[in-house]
Amino acid sequence: MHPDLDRQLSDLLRCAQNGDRRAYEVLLREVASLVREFVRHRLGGSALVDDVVQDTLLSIHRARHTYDPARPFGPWMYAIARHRLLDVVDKQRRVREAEVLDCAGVDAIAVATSRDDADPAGFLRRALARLSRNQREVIRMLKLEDRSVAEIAARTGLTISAVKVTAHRGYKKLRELIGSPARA
Amino acid sequence: MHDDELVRSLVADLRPVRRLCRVELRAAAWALLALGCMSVGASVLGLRGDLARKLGDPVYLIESTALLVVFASSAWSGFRLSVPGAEPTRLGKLVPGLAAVGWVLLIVSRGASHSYTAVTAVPALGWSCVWRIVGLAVAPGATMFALLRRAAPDERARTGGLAVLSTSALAALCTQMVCRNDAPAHLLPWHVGPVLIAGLLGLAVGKLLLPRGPGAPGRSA
Repeated sequence: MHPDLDRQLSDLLRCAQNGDRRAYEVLLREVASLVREFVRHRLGGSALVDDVVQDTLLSIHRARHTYDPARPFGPWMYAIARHRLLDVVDKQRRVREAEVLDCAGVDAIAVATSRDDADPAGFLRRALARLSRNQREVIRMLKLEDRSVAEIAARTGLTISAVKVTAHRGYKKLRELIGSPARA
Repeated sequence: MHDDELVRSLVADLRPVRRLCRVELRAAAWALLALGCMSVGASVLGLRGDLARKLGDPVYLIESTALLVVFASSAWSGFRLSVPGAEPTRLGKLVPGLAAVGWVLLIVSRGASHSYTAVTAVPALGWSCVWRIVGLAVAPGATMFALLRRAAPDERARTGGLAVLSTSALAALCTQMVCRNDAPAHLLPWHVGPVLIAGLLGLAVGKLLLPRGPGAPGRSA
């Protein structure tokens, strides 16, 4: 990172640590652009680039108190971005991204419960009660409160990838409980 | 989900935070506190009667120095790992492990010249050293974890391992000022063993106790 840019971003974060929202907005937009470039060099045009950028912004928000203005800004920011990149790549090795926000799967669950149960709402409530607290909370915020993944991540302290993984596992568990395969 | 929406959300959530003290200051302050705790602990337990003589023994001094290096380098690396961008250099990451290996080898190399005395044949004495190490390490260890939790450690396992290794090394050093038995056959299972096991357990403790992901949010002013 160019020393002038580093100094500028360092000043912006120092102001943001004191509560300056204007400085913070400028900083985050610049950081998003730098991190996107950094991640694209490593992931190419992958759909994961957005996840890493947003996870990095969230991490910077939560760890902003750790930045020491006496140190350069670049190493601090890129250290966070590097770890978020590793987190996302690691999670993708374990989960298929195509199934994560499986709206069709959720609709199939709704149809199956309405067809097979006299009290479908009660049946669904009982099925949801059998999910883990995190899974239940994430699905409730996604489907009932219509919140975005990023909003849920900010509220729960999970990374964006973790929210998607949690939702995916929740839907999978619901399908098993209800005994109805998801539609393609 | 567009970046703009997230940026707006984060800006709206912005509150002033109390900046973390410099890594060097945090590490130094904690080290002083730990040394203070150990001094008090050693006084309470009672220093060995021949300590003044042992401090003139080069072998004893070298082994104690190795333990001090394990304590200091592990603490330094642990605190630095807890702050993004302040991670120790590659050499810095190796020093704690190398110092620990050096300490073990120093004791093992003395093995041939010492005999296993009747005193060390009594298991109770050996276990008392283990409890001393554990007991002496608790307060400084808890303090270090509290300090690390306030930072943003991404490598939780390694940070936790270094924290526990540091406190247990210092506790072992303090125990060596209390325990009169310097025989390698006593030190290896009852002093070295607990330190190394604690360091390994620290990896799991770090994952359990240190905040997941980006770290705990900073305090508001």
